[in-house]
Amino acid sequence: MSDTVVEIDHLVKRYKELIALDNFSLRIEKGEAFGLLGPNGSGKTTTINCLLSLLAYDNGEIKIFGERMTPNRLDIKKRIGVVSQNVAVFNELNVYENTDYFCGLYIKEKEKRKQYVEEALEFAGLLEFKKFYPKKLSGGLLRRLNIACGIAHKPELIIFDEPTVAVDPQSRNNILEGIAKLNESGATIIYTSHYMEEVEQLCSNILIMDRGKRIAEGTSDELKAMIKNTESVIVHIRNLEHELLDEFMKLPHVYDVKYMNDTLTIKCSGGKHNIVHVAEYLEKKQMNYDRIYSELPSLNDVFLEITGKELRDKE
Amino acid sequence: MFFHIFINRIKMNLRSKEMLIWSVVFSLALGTLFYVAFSSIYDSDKNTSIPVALVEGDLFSTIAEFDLSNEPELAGVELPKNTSFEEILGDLKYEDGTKMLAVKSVSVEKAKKLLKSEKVDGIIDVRDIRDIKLMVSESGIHQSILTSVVSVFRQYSALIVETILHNPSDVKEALSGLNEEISLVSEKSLSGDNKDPYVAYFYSLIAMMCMMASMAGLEVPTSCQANLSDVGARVNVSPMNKGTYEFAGLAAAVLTQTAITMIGLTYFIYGLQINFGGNTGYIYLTAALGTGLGVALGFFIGHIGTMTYKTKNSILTVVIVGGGFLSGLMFGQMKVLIEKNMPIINRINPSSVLTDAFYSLNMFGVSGRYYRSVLYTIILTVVFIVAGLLMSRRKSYASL
Repeated sequence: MSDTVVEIDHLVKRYKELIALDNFSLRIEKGEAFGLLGPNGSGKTTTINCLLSLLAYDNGEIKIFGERMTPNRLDIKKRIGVVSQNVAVFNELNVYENTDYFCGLYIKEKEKRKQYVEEALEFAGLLEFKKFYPKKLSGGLLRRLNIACGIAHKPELIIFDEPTVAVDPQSRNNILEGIAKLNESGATIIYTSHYMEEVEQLCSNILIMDRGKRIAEGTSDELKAMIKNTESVIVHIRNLEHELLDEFMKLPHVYDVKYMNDTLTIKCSGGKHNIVHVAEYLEKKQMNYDRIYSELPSLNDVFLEITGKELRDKE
Repeated sequence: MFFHIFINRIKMNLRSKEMLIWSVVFSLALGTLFYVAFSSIYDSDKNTSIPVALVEGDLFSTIAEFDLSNEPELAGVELPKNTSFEEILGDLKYEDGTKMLAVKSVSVEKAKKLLKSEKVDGIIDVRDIRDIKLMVSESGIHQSILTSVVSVFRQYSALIVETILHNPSDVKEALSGLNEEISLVSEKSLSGDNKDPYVAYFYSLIAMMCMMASMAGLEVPTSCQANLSDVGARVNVSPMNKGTYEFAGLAAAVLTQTAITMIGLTYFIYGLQINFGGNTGYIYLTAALGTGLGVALGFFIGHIGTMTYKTKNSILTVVIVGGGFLSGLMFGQMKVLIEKNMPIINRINPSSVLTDAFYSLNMFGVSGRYYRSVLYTIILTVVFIVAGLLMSRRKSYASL
């Protein structure tokens, strides 16, 4: 039996003239934590909605657990959990009742459901907020409730669609740790985000998409290996004469130099000790600087190099 | 699964502040406002005893003192205790128990003085019982009532006198005829079950409460359609059978909204003491059916097209207000105009169907027309629900 949990083949989705998904394909294996990374409007949520048969698509095929997914495949839906981008709970039900309500759409047995709900609330750290109504919860707790409602029935495949949007850093860490635990316990995870750090931290396999197209796929290291940049040396230095930039280009492994807002960015491809070469040069030229440090490439660099634009808007 | 949804939907309906405010607080407040506003009108319309001067003569006294026991054929027949004309008139009562006439037995001269000084509205002169006279100084409702009363007495008093004098064995029937006629005069009812003109406003209010239930009906598809709400999307990706989900939601909406309508109606009937005539049971039944129709209407509109929740909510508001207008809730003649020119609208407009049911009850009692309105109510309810369910079959959306 195949271990492939999700197969999307040549998916095309159009909104009138706009092509939201353009021959998009992906494959997710059992137990994987799969990251779908792309800027806002790249087609991540459209992909998820097509996958769940919420959205009709124009072409292509979607299989989940080896079976063709359609709106009537209740047997497949039973095995999926969804944590949507927007908090989807009832304001008139408290934390416990909301979790129980949505769990009840999957689990008939009352006792089993009660146990599952308790476990989900414990997992989400909401046990002490059982009687709270959504309006009384903070943004972070509300997100956690959203997660509890999506995972209480212990699904095999869990889809997280940007679950940390507008969440404070502490809650974000809690959520990410929780998702990692779910993955460790055997659940296959699909995680969409435009926060590269989250995807990098969580996912074993990452697909970068833009304008409905697949840009690149692989592990974080594999993706970074695809690009020229291997290290960036950053120097905070004032009043640097632009004529000197060409001098930096002559240093070993350097292929790009930029100076902006008193910050000198020297991009290197390959080689070791690039920061030492830069520091020695600065000393030799008796140039005073405030700070010097080295950065390894991020997924944003990958995205930037492939598409020519930033992965996410400056916040 | 059905009961899981059903119970939780009931909880949600009862905890929804918006719904409770519009369905309960608003309706009860409006009813109370109507009551307060109409109270002054009711007071001015309240039945009052008509002051009247009675001029009695010897002849009547003679008849009143007839000793029927001397007539063997009249064994068992008794003249009423009020054998004096003053007492007979004094016993006449309105439907609400108020005495119709405040009779003062006086001399002719005194009676004329009282009439002139407007201390009485009329003089009834029964000195010659075969020619009872009525004198009034102006025209008005009191004078009209007096004319009716005297008219009946003229006929029956003459008949009784004739009967006692010439055919005493028929006096029993004659007396019973007199009592019945007086009773008809005091009820002054032409037809129907309720003469209160202001009760129609409360019927309109109940109809409005029924239509307000459509908001709860709209919530049912909203909670399970991915294009209407986030929770709708969550429900849509679950393995829940949509038909079961919607039936449970509908049942919960009908139950809670019917309970709310019943509370409102009970408050009107027993709290405000609004007189809805003698068909209380049927009014409750009609209100319950109307609430079902309201929920079904909201359910139906919630399933039409791919518009957003806000748009559908606005459409529903337009349908309720527009339907109310077409049914005559704001302009009484509108329904008649539509019945003349486009009667089909009156058959498919839920507000019209509902107000017609209440109108029929109010004017004609439990009649064929009432049953026809009830039938239309049931048909519309079924059509809305079936159409809604057909449109809600599990589907993918073109956009979300």
